Amino acid sequence: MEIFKTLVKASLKSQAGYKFNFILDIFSSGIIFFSDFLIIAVILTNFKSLGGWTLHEVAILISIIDSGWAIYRTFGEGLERMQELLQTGRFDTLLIRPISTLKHLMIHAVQFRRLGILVQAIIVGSWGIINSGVFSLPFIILYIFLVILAGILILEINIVLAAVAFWTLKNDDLLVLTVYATKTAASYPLNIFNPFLKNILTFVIPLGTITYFPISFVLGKTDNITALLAPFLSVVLMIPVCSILWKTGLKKYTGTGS
Amino acid sequence: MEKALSLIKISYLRSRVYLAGHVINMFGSFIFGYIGVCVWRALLGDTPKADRMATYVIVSQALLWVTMFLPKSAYLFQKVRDGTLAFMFVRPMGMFLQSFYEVSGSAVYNFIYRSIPIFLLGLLFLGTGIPAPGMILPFFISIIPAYVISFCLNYFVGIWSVKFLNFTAAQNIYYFLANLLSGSLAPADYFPDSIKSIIAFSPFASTCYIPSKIFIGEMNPFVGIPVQSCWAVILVLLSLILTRSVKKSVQIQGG
Amino acid sequence: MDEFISVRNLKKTYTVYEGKFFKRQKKEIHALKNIDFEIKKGEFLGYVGPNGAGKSTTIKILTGIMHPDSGMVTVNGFCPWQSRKEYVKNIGVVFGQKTQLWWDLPVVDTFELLISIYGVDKKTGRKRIAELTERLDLKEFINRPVRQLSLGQRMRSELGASLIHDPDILFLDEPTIGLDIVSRHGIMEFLKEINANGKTILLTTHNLKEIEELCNEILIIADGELVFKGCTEKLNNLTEIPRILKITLKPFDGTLSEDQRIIISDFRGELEMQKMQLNFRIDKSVSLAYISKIMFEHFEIEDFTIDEPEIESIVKGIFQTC
Repeated sequence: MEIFKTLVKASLKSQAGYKFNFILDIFSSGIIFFSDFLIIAVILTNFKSLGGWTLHEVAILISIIDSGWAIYRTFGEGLERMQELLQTGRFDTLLIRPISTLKHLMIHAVQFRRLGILVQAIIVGSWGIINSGVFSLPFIILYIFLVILAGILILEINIVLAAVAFWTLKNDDLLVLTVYATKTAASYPLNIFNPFLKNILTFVIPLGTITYFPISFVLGKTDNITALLAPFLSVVLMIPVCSILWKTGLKKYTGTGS
Repeated sequence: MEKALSLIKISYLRSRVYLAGHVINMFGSFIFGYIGVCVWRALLGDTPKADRMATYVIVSQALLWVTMFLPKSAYLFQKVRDGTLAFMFVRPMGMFLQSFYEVSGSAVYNFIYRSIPIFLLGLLFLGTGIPAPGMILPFFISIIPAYVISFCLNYFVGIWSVKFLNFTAAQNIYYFLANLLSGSLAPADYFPDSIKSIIAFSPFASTCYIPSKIFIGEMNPFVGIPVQSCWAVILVLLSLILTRSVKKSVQIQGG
Repeated sequence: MDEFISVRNLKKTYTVYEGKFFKRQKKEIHALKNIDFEIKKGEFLGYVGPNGAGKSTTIKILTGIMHPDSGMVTVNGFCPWQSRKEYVKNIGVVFGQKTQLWWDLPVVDTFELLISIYGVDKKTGRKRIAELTERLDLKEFINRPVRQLSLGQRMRSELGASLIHDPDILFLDEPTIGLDIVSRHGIMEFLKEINANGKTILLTTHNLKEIEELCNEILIIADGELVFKGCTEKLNNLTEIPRILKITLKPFDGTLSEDQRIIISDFRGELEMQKMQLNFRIDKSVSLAYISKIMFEHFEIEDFTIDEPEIESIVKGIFQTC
């Protein structure tokens, strides 16, 4: 924790040093995510609902995924650079430190300009929560939980992908397919997709469990309590998957696995 | 012309190296198209309009690879970073043209290995349609100004990054406008009445909305293509003017 | 207990695949065939060899980054790959080609981050930063982000980073690669100093001069095998490889005076008329200063170069004498 504090302090100091660029970057990184929301908003002003969900309700889904993404991209920058670290051989320098490699990746970099994404996501979410009539203290607590869990789940999925890079040395294209595409899909009500994609988003890359299922339960679209528990289940179940894959990948890298 | 072809070829081959990764990437892009199709089918139900919108979305998704997703900043920022930008000035060809041919190479690659496969996947799995016979030629013609306009927009980002040595903000603002206004998921028709026609006639709509609308037979090519061509001419002229001004500042800074 | 590092029967083989997609062919590369050596406490060991000889593999194994196929390594009582996290607390590592600093952060913040990573207490840490700043002369750029530093400044910072937790052993993998003479000299002086203060150092480099000047022991590896172990002086006697002196003459009509002809034949030189170039092979016993003086007195000289023997030819030389 001490390490993390030192890093956050140092990064904030160095990034905020160029004030104008810093603010411009925070703002502009937020608006590209906002454009995705605006598109849906434009479409849904012409229609009553999307698969039975109003624009306000969809806004809640979008905001959970985007906030989670913002948290991940702020603190998980090291995982994003895994491909580069492996290709340049710089991953070696992580192994000469007395902490675990995953921990070291987490402190590889902190990117505060991604917080613009979080700001826009919370604005969109608040607007959705207030207008869809679910505003209450318990819901706000649940929402905060879901945002944090979304951050953790996205982190876990990216750990799996980073581990894959131990074998493939390249994972940026895989990232588009397994994270970017599914992240976008999980910001819509899953019932508009065919069962195949819905199952993938539930059981394989379980981003849907963090948005669609719990919010469905809260909005009374389902009575199944599993829907509410789904986010906790998927985050916990992903832990052993990440840990085993990462350890196996690392063994391969250090040359005991092959 | 020979030089132009060789520049296009080099950049095509550069893209070709990563074929395996690009196939995976293309499937990702197809999923984005599929999400759009699901959205419109959910909204419009089982209607002919829904089928047309499904086609519209997939064609747009395929076209993004020769429009919005061209190499960022037309490679210019990369060249500022690794210090090769100065080489562009010593060649007997203008910087704008060199960039244009370089980017064209990857556009050709993207068209063959991403646009066409995405469209074919749509045809196979999503039941998207093909254009009326009379619209095939106009559609292909309309891709050309769409590409030229997109190139110029990316080139502007490049010029900005050369001038201000900051790339992220310009790229993000470009992405915001293109994403929202090109109509890849939400065509101009669905925007509020007051801004509908402004958006439809914006340069962004020319890159995606107009060609896709021509494809599904909802736009008269004799209206769409002239609009696109006007924008293409205006933006090329603007690019040339900006090139001249940035060239001066680069020469002063010494690259 | 004067064997600080001991390496026994170290073997490492890589499997690489050649060819595309279907017709892959398995090929085994023996990076380390059977390596044995030991380093005493306080020694300064030079580890040399041509590219691809197995230097990096050895360093990677000794620093706990890589596991060998077989063999035993103990460093200060630890096996590097068995208790990595404990072990690395007592070693410092510099890779000349790979930075271990945080690219976007100022040097001083990197140091503070490392202090918390190694669990050094704050007060001691501050003191060490001040000390290293002083001794490595980092003051003028310590608040600048790493990405803005010159190569020489960066390498001094890397050295500082590797010493922040005060390790007993230092592994340096080509730390002077690409550096200018002044930076190189500064770093060599610093290394001498910390070695004199008791740090055990293992250095790999391409530059034989550095080894001669710094190291008291030398190991030469070629093709995954050690071809030479011993003190630096012994190496000099082993390798009677002459230096090549190349002199380009100012354009002249091609006729040589009597004196000039005698000098050429005395030093067994040869004249290449087309290039107007004189080549001499100078044995170690002949002083360069002496021969240069004679040459400048008797010839009109345009250009003058001396080729020191390369590692590759020294290794070849060792094979021939063995």
